[in-house]
Amino acid sequence: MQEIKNIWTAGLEGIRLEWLKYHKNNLARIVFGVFTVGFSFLILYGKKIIPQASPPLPGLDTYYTFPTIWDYQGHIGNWMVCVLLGFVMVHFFTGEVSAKTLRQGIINGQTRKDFFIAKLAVIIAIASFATLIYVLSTLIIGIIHTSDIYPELLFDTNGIIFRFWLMCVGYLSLAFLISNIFRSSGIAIIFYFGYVFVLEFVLRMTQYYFFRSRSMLFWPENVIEDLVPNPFFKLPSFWMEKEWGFSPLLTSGESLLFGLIYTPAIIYLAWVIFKKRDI
Amino acid sequence: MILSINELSKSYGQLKAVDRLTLEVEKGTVLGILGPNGSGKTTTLGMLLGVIKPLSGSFTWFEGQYGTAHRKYIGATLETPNFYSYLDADDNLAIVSRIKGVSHESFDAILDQVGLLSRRKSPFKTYSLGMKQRLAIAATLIGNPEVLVYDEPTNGLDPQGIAEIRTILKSLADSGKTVIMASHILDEVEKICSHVAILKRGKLLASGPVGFILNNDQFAEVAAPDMEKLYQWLSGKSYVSDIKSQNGFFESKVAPEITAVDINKMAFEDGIILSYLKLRTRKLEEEFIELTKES
Repeated sequence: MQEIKNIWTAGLEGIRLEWLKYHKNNLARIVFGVFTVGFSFLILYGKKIIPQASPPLPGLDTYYTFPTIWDYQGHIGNWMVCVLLGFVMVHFFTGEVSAKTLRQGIINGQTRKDFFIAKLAVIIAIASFATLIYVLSTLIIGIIHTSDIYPELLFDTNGIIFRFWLMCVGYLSLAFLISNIFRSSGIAIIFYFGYVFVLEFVLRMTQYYFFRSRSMLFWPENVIEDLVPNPFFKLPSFWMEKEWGFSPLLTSGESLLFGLIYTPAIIYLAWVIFKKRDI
Repeated sequence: MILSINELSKSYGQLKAVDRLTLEVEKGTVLGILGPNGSGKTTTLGMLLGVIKPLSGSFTWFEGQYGTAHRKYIGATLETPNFYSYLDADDNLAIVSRIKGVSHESFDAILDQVGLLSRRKSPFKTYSLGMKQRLAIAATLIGNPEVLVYDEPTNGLDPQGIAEIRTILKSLADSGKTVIMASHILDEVEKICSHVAILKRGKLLASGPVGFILNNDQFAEVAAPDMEKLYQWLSGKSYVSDIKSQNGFFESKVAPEITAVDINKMAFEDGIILSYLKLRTRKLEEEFIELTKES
C-alpha cells in the first residue's frame, strides 16, 4: 500500500516537473494544437466526401449520429493518436537523451525510478487528454446531428471510451519503449512508424502464409489498433471471413483483454531496459 | 568524510576505463582530478553521480546519511551544460529546483553571482558557451549544496571565458565548500585546488595535497650575454644538475638550500653577469608529466 502511495506521489510530482519542461515547447504546442483541432473537427470534413460515396458504404447519418459516431470518431482518433501523439512521445524521451537533460536530471537528484514514473504519468495524462477530446467532440457532434436523443443511446458505447483510453496508453507506451531502445530521435521515429505501419503487418502476413490461424491477430500493435477498430472493416470482414476462415478483427473483449496484458508488459520491458543502461 | 570510493571499476568491452579506484574526500577539500584525455575522469564522476553503472566496487556519499537521495545535496555538472534549449535561465533553474525539492522565491542572487542577471529571460539556446557554463554553475548552487562537482568547467571557452569561470570557481573553493573538479588543465587545478588525484588509463597514480604531490625540487632559470661561458660555469657547480637549454636561457635543478642571491653572487664573483635569473619550485605540470611518463 505504501509503495502504491509512493508511486502516486512520484507520479503527481512527475507531472508537475514535466509541465515545467514542456509547457513552452513549441513542437509540443503545435502537435497538441493540431491534434485537438484536427481530432475535433476532421470528421466534419466527411460531409464533403461521404455524399459522393456509393453503397455499400453507409449513409451520412451513420457517421454523425449515436451510437455509431463513437466508432467513427474513435477511428479518426486511432490514427491521430498513433501518428501525432506517438511522435510527440518519442520526442519527449529522445529529446531528453540528445540534450542530455535526462542525464542532468539524474545528476541533480532524480532517481531513475522517479524519471520513469514521470514519463509514465505523462503517458497517462496525454491518454486522458486525448480521451477527453474524444468524448467531448463525439458528444457535441453527435448531439448536434442526432434527432432523437436519450441517455441510453448517448452512451451505448460498448466500453469504447475505456478502450480508447487504453489504446492511447498502448500507442504511447510502444513509442516510449522504442525510444528507450534506440534513444536516437530519428531512428526511434523511423522504427516506431515502421513497426506500426509496416513491420508488424509483414510479420503477421508471414505468419498467416505459414500458419493460417487467428493467432496472427494477436500481435501487440494489432491488439492496440483493434481496441478501437476501423469501422469500415466490418464490411469487408464478412467476405474476408469466408476467404480466411476467420474475421480479420478481434472482438472488443479480446482486444481489451490482450490490451490489458500487452500494455503493462511493454511498460515493464521499457523499465527493464531503462534501468539497466547507462545514461 | 564527504566521499569514500572503494575499488571502483568500469570497463567498456576490453577497455578498462576505471580500474579499482580507491579514494577518500574529506569535508572542505578542493580536489582536482587530473588526467590526460581518456584517463577515466568523466567516467569516474559519471559513476559517482549515478549516470554510469559501475562494473564493481562501491562508493558512499556523506557516509550514507542521505540514502539514495544523496545527489540532491550535490551540485554537479558533467561534461557540457545540459538544459532545455527553449527555456530561459529562470525556467531551467526552476526545473533543477523542483528536482532538488528546494523551494525558491527568486534566483536573483545565484544569477547575479555568475553574472547572468541581465540575460535571465533569454532562451538557453541564445547563450554563448561561456554563458551556458555560467548557468550550469548557477544550477549547481541551487539549494546551497555541501558539495560541488565540476567536469572540465573551462572546456571550449575563450581566454576571457576561462578567466571568468576560474574567478567564480576560486570564490566557491574559498567559501569552504567541498569541491571536486576534473580537469586536464594543470594550471587551473594548481590555482584552485588544495588536493589532487592523478589518473591515467583509469588507474590512480597519486593523490594528496597539492604541496605533498609536488616534491621539493628547486629549479633555476638563468641567462647571460655569454651563454657558453654560463653553461661551463653551471656544469662545474656541485649544487647544479640536469642542465637543459631552453629558449634563451638554461634551466637546471639546484640544491634546495641555494637562494637566488647565492647564485647571483657566485656568478658575479666568477666573472659572469647574469641577464636573467629566476628561481622556482617544481610545477604541477612537470610533476604530472613525470608521473604519467613513469607509469
